[in-house]
Amino acid sequence: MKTLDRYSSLFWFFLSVAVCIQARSLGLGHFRNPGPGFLFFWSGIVLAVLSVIIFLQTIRRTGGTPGEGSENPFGNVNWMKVLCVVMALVIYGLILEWLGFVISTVLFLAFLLQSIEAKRWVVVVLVSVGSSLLTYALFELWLHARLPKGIFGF
Amino acid sequence: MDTLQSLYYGFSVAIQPANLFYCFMGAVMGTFVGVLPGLGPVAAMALLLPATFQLSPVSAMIMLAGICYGAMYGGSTTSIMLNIPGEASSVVTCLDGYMMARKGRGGPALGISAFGSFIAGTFSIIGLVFLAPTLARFALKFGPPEYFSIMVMGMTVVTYLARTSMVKALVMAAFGVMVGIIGMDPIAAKPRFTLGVAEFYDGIGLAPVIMGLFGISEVLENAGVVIKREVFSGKITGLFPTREDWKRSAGPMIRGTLLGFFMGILPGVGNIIPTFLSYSFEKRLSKHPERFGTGEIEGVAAPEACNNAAVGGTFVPLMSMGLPANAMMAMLLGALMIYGVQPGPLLIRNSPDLFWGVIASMYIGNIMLLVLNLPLIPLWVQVLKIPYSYLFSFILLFVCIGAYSLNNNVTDIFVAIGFGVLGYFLKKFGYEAAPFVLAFVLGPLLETALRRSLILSNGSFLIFLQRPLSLCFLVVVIAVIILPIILKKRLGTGLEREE
Repeated sequence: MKTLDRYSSLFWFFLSVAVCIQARSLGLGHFRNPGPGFLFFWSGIVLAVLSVIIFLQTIRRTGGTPGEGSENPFGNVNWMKVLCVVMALVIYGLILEWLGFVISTVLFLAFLLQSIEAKRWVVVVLVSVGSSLLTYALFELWLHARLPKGIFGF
Repeated sequence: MDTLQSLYYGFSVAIQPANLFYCFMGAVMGTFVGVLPGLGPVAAMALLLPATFQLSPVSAMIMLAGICYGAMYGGSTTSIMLNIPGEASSVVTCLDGYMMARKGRGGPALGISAFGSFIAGTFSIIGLVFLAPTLARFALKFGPPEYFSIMVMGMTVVTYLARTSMVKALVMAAFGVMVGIIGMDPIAAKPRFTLGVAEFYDGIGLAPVIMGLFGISEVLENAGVVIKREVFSGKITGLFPTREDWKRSAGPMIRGTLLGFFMGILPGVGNIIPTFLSYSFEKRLSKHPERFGTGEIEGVAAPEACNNAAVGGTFVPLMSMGLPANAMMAMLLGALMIYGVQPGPLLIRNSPDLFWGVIASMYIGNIMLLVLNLPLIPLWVQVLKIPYSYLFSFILLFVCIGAYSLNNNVTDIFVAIGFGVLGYFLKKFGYEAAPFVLAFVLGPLLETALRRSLILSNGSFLIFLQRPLSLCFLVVVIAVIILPIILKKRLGTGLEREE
């Protein structure tokens, strides 16, 4: 966790510096009349100080944060699966308004079901199409949720 | 008595057939989502929030409150049957609850948990009824400096009670404030940090953020790691606890309820810490502390009662002052603002149908949940046996639909995805989401309070120290920050050893 803490503290530090710089250009105003960037700037300062503290804590010999084990939380992670899920989500968001709810959802579910845990194709197709139609009926027809219609009109 | 009359009015609102239906729907949906591993009450409320948009604010709040309680009941079910806590405050229930299930006593565990939650919920509602109006009158004396200080106090207390590093929790709070105030500046009408996205002019939506942080990140977490899930597949017989069980649980339930309610009222405490404390407390009071962790019913009765009482307690500052005590209440506050209701001390006065109606329906909801949950438990257990890949795919689908239907905008889906990925990494690097959510919701309120205070005082920061209430709150803030350094330990961290 120590190395991870170092990385994260650096991340927060650079983020807070960027925020402070941007906040100044927004205008800090005076104490009498705080400007748009006021709270951003001071939160940024607080964040910067905290990130330095985290970094310094990693240097102490007996340091490290309480209540954590020594295992690497990133060990044992199947990155491909995580990436697949994220990609599926992003692509779903992109095609949703183009292909419409039903078709996009069928593709989305089919891809997800197959990539999280491999199954027989028949099952995947049945479940994706079935669920897609069911949720369409539930949200669009019953709850009038106005799901996106694509170029095919549904 | 005035209160009784108002309560009567509240019941008349709550038992309207439509509201009864919404209460019921909320409770069922909440329980269902609460049962799903990984999604807690906060995510449940975020997911189901769009379903409430068609309703009037009163009905919507009734449904949301039902979802809140329902999700907590559902979370207990997964803790006992699966050893997977539905949310942080159910962690303790896993300790003895799951062991009871393994010993074939899953039924009584679930039963005691349901009854305990009901009793605690009822008590805390009574407490809420009497405390909230009084507190609201008191809070009318609050000016911007008091609000600023109490909000800072709430956020600091949350970080003090963080289960991991306090510094990291403070980082989350600071970051939360920053993200929370993204959007148009209320005074200068200038867009700030909107990254060129027009949809962010009004700020980043709360619901997609929560759906991402709690829902999507949980799925990502589980997608990456293969977990061997042991559903307790034994037949659940005898949901009713025996007389012996009742005798042993009575004391813990009462103690848990009192502890939960009174701690839950304090801004920033929430319902996680009281639950842990309740378990430790019972263990210390027990004649056989070594049996805790092997399936002692006291270890289920107390935390479950405490949990629900604490939720009731957290309603008090929300309803009386418009101040959320934890992420769950922050969600409700966000919802209230979306419905156009102005939270704050005047809520009770201006929207009595909302306040009293919600209270009455919480009581009705508790009864419904008690009646619902016991017979439906076999159904919920079946739900849990659905393979992860299906469960998670549907969770993701509902998150996307939910996010989209907030504003009929795909941007919200991407916000959810973005916060989902962020939440995933935050968890891995050891940061907690709860302080972030609280700060995110409080951020804009904090900024307004700060600016108004400084304008009032003509730029002097002394105003926060000159007003007695504000000074009190700030003293607590300083104490909370300095105490851990002096004592070299904190309330939250010691409890890690209980696991």
